This record gives sequence, structure tokens and C-alpha cells, in this order.
Amino acid sequence: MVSSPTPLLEIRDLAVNFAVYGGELRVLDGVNFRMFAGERVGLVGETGCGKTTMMKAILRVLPTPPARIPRGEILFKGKDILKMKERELRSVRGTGISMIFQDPTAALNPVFTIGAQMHAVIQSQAQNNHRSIDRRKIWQLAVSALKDVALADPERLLKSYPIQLSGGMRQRVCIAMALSTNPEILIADEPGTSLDVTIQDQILRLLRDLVEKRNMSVILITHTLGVVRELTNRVYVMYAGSIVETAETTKIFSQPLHPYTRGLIATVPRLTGGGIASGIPGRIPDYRNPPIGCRFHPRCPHVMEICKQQKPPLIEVEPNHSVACFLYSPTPKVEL
Amino acid sequence: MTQPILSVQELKKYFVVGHTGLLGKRTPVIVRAVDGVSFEIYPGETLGLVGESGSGKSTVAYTIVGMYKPTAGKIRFMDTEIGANDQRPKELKKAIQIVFQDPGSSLNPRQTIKQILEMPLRVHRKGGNRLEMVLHLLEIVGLPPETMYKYPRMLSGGEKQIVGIARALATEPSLVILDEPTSALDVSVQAKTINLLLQLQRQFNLSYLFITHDLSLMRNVANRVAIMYLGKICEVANTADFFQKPLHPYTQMLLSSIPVVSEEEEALRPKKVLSQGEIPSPVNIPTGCSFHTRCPFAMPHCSKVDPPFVDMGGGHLVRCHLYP
Repeated sequence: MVSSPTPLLEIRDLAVNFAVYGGELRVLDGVNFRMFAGERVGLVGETGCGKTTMMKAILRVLPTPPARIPRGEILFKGKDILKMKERELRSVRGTGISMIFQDPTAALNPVFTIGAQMHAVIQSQAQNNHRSIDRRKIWQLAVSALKDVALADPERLLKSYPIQLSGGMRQRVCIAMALSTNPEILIADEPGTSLDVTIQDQILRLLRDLVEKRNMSVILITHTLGVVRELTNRVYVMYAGSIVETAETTKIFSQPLHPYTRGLIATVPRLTGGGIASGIPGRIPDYRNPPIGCRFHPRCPHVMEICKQQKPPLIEVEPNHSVACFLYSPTPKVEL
Repeated sequence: MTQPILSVQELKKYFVVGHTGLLGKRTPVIVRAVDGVSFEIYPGETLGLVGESGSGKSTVAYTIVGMYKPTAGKIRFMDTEIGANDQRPKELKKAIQIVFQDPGSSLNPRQTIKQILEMPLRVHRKGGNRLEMVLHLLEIVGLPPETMYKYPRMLSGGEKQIVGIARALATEPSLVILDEPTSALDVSVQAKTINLLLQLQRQFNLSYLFITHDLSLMRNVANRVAIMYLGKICEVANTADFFQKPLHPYTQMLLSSIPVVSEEEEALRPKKVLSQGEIPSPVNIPTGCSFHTRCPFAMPHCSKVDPPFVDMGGGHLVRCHLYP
């Protein structure tokens, strides 16, 4: 793979803490992540592993306090989002990075028509870019955005309220809104999870067609491994606030290395049958007192002494395949 | 063949959700949530009931447990007709139990796990040492004894669901209805919960009605599978048959929509039936075969005549004009 010198988005050693009663939750613990233009990246992990926190940090929509970012950088085209001024940030949020949320019902305002909500998005985007835009033009853009997501009769839809649409249609509207600003990165947070399988399939196919046509970079957040396999070309696996493994999608499924990734893939029920593996023992750690060293070590079947003392770094073990596990580091540093 | 433990015949459950028209001409708006569903469950068997939201699968479950009274049709449990009963005898409530989908809202947040598990014991198993029974229940489901003094909020989602399972087992039932027991859980927790359910089934010879929308999960737990669409069953078959040769176009669409994780699974998916169209509202079910609006093989008479069930051999029933 030929990679351009500067990644489109790079996260270096990002940590996020949340202040809670009687302590601090150390949720993100040194996340490293990078994506290049045109890549479709999947971010996989179970509930509570910090996927959404990471995305919110990227868009800088984490409420601070209670959140606190003690260290780390988020570089969007080489500029640190965490150090940006509000105005710069606004243009990043629209033309730079857009997001589709898990629950389209919660993402749309129930008391405004679809048209009014799309109007707001398109207009504020124009304002950010210091362009003036008239109502007719906005309406045309909204209609064409809805046509792009294969919604029939867009003129009527723009006049209707979210409650008048089905779940699948609402998600299409959200996709249309996110894409109406032509973002460089699209973040899709569990875009099909709240929908039925057949409708989820339609949404995912639509999303794939759209990003392929526009050659858009996508970050797909999900805990459904099957969705990742169908939509992305690179996967980051997250566990308890850090990236434990990353590789090309086909590689992750054919040759998972990290014990957590292996356990995760083994527990997915298969259409071919054959029972279900027994799962990973234990549960995700308490972020108030996370385990020292590798955060996975209390649940790991291959735990070693060093795992309890040091946090394994993310090391490239093969080209394009990195893993944070002492089982694969060539020379485990033993220093105390 | 052995006698079924539960047999449901032409079960119907309609709900009135509102009215249209003015005073004298008011006509009720009716949702036909379940519209003529028939199936049997045999002792020790798991019947998987699969369908998308609004297909009526939970209504079937609630009607069998007795939370709803059926509009029409028969429900036979062992030898007794139970559908028409206004007040079910206690024995019946003891024998049929349910595990709900959302473990967060199905446990009382103000009660300890001990209190939650004691409730069914107090009602159905009078006498005996309740503390011992609670401890035994926790042991059966593999939770540590100190869990007893905890409140639901102190447990993880998976543990809460396991408490829900223990509560269902407290009355020593013979039929357990599992209403999407793992859909709120992560895959690794799901695996653990499912394996526990399968082990308990063997241990106590339980029959399960397993409701889910996840076909890959169904492949691994059910002996037989029934697919529901808009209040009607459209295909019933043994699990192996079902996945090898799905017959109904809706089943094929469902199977081709599942995101899978391996090449072998991809080979099993029917490629040609891509999902299209919206799921119609249950208030306004299409005439004839209710699937004709989304069916790629729809013929003119599909919109007029509702197809009957056809037996394709080996208990593989399908309701579609394409067959036989």
C-alpha cells in the first residue's frame, strides 16, 4: 500500500479521563490511530471500551469537565484539533469530519421538519465558508442530497416530520445530512444497529456505494464484526481504552493475533453452525482502578508476569499488522 | 412421535389502537399483531422464532405466558387448553416462565438479588429453606453466592440477564420462553449466556421458545426454526434444512442480509435476493401474501390470495405461491 506522507487523521497517545464522584475514570489510555485519505477504517470493541469517547474527542464534543484530556494529540491533516480555536473547529466539524449516529430517532429533532433541519446544516456550512446562499439553492441541495440516499419523493419528505418516517428512512436522512457538506471523513457510529437486519443491509449497501463513489474516508464504529468485514479495508480493535490490534480487514479475520481479538472473533455465532465458543472470561475492567500493565491481563489465557507490570506498546509485527501484546514483541523489555 | 409440550393453533391477537371517523361512524383501528399462527414445541426442544420488529414474535410470547388473552385460536399446554382461561391456575404459571429482553428494566432496582429470586419461591414453592434454594439457584447459573446481597445496578448486563434466567428457573418450569435474551448483550457475554442456557436445558430437560432476530445465533441454538413476517409464520423447518435450502423469498432475503465473518458463511448466503423496500406498518398489512410488496418474485395473484402452508417434506413448511 502506498501511503501519503501525512495521514488524514492521526491520534497520538490520546488519554481521556472523566471526573466522577470519588475519583477519576481513566477511560482512554494512550490511543494511537491513523488513517489515510480514501481508507475505510473499522473501529471494533465491546460496549464501554471507549469507541464513542474517542470519536467525541475527535469532534471535540466531549463536555469538559467532567472530561479531561491529560495528554495526546489529534492531528487532522497535520493540525491538532485539541488546540484549534472555535472557528477553525467549526469548519472541521462540517467540511472536515461528519458523523452519523447510532439512533437516527434521537439524532433528529422531533419538532422541526426534515427540510428545516437540512436547511440549518447546509446554511451553517455555507456561512462557515463565508459563502452566501439563498433559500432556493438550499432547497435544491437538500433535494439532491435526499435523492443521493435513494429516498423517493424528496420534496414531500422535506416537508414531513421525523415521526412520519420509518427508522430506515430516518437513518437515510441522517446520512444525507452528514454527506450534504461533502466531508473528508465520515464517522459512522453503529449506523445499522438500531434497525432490522434487512433494513440494516440496505443502509450498509447504500453507505458503501456512496463512499465508493465519492472516494470518501470512513471510520465505522461498531461491535458487530460482520459489518466491519463487509464495509472496511482496515480494522482497529479496541479494548478498555486502547488499541490492541490493527490490520487489514481480511487479515484480522484470517489471522487475528491479540488474545482479545481471537476471543472476540471466536464468540461470533456462525451461520455454518457448530455451537458457540465459551466467550472471554471476566468482564471489562472498572475504569476507576484499571489493571496495571496490560488492561486485558486479568482475562487473558496467555498472561505472563510482564503483562501485570507493563503496558505493551503497539508494535508492527508484520507489514501493516500491529499488535499490543507481549506475546509478539521480539524482545520484551524487562526493566523495573 | 411424542406429544408436544405446547401446541398453538391459529392463534390470533388483535389490538385496538385507536378509532377513525366521527361519533356515529367510529370504526376501530386494529393492529393484527398475530394473525393465525400455529406451531408445536416438543419436550427438550428449542424452537426458534425469528422475525423483524413488528412481526409479532413478542406478542406470541406474551400470549403464551398469559400476559395477553388471545383474540382467537387455541393454546394447548400438555393436555390442557390454556388460551381461554381468564385466570390461569398457579400450576400453569409455575410451568411456563419467561426471560425478558432487557435485563435492565426487568429486575426491580430497589430489591436485592435475594429478594428478586425469593419472590417466585414464595409463591410457587412454599415450605423448605428459601435461603438454601436461593443459594442453589445461584449455584446452578454459576453466580457467586455473595451476588445475593447485591442490587441489580451493581451487576453487569450479562450478570443481570443471568439473574433473570435464575428467576425463571426458580419455579422449576418445563417451558421457558426466551424473548431475545441476549440482544442487549455484547458478543462475548452473549456466548457465555447462550452456553449457560444450553447447559441448563440439558440438565433440566427444558423446552425453549427462543425468540430472536439473529439468524446466525438461531443456527447454533435451535432444533427447529419458524420465521415470522407481519403476524404470520412464513416458513418452518428443521434448522439444518432451513439453512441449507431456505425456500421462502423472505427467508432468503433475511439470510442474504446477515453480515458474516467468514468465507464459508458467505457461501451459505443466497446471493440473489437483495433486501428492498420498507417493512409495512402492521396497521396496514398488504392484502394477499403480506410479503408481496418486497418480494422479488411477486406474481399478480400474490397481492390477492394469501398462500396456504405447503409441506415440502420432512416437516419443512412454507407459505408461498412459488411452491409446490
